[in-house]
Amino acid sequence: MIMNKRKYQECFVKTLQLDEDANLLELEYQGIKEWDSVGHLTLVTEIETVFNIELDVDDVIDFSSYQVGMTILEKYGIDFTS
Amino acid sequence: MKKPAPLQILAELNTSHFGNLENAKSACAVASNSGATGVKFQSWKPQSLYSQRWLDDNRVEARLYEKLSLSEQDLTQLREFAGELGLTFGSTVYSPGEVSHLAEISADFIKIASMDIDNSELLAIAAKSGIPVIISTGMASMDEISWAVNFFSDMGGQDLTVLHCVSLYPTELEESSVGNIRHFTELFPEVNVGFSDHTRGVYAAIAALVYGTRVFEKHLSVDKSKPGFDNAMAQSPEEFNEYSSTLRKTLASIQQDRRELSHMEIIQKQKLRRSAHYTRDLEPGNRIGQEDVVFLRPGDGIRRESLDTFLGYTLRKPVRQGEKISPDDFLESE
Repeated sequence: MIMNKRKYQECFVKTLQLDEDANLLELEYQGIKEWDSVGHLTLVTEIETVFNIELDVDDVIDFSSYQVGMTILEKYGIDFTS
Repeated sequence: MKKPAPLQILAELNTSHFGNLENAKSACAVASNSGATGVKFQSWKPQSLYSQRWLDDNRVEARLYEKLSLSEQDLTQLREFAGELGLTFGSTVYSPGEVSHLAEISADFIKIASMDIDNSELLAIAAKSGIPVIISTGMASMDEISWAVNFFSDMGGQDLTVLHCVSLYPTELEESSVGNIRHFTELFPEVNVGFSDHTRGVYAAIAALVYGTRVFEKHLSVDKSKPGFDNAMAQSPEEFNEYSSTLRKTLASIQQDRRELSHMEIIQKQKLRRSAHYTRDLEPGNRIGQEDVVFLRPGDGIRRESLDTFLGYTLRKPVRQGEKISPDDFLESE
């Protein structure tokens, strides 16, 4: 749902201190200084809270970009389409 | 003062194995191929590092620590595998049980982390294990470091390496304080002094090497694209290889600290210094004066300091301009 995409974007903006108009589609782990290993944990914690899910640790490790993250969340039933 | 130890470059593999034994073995192989002499793992369990309250409050970290920790069985296999690769093996311990396990598998060294430099329980059991101990000194005052060194000795510890360390990840060069190593070598002449290097690159390590450090610990990450606890300052395999290669080359350049000419340089000296040559053609019977002599390369003839011996001598044969002056040119009676 569009709402899920909005919530997902807000997780990044909030935890990585991004501007509202930041180009999230190209955002990658370590691509900006805020998304370091500490920022990663903060981001994942926020996503788990917002979507009320618990990611498998392998997914936490594989969560290497904004787009990969969406693919991972879809495994947990989060719908970003339509 | 102890004789300088052999160069040791320990690859701190931290969480680059992601809790997987096969990954950890691969990381050992990468370390070996990148110039490491040893590998270091972490023996922690979430419960040996954090309070249950903290783990409850930080659930993602808690799951990561659980997943990324290595079991005793894993460490046992890694000890064997590292040995097969010719690498020394050690691990950082956080509880007495973890020390005991390393003793059981005859680890080459036990590492005490900076956070535990004041942990008398851990220091005592490590000292009594009989295994060489490496201790990091990040966040510690000189008083705390002195206490740890003395306590280790008092507990019967025999083989201690103290690592200069700054607990900032990464450590900027301006904050690396490598000059502290001089104080360590002066204050603790009976222990090995090393460097737990959290800087990026090799510059601080070169300085540490020149100050006498021969034990280096550097983080190595096989895949920095994946989130790991030490991504910010871990070296890629290529960077680690450059690091170890640079240290070895630097060590080669400082190992000879006395003014002794090598055989090669003595040969070079004969080519590149000057020796006496004739400035003009001269016939037998001429006496050699200062004006007949010029000093030019090569330097394998009569040296400047020996010329006075021959000035005023009489030639017994004709000589040509540019010819090297020889003692055989003169009458024997002179």
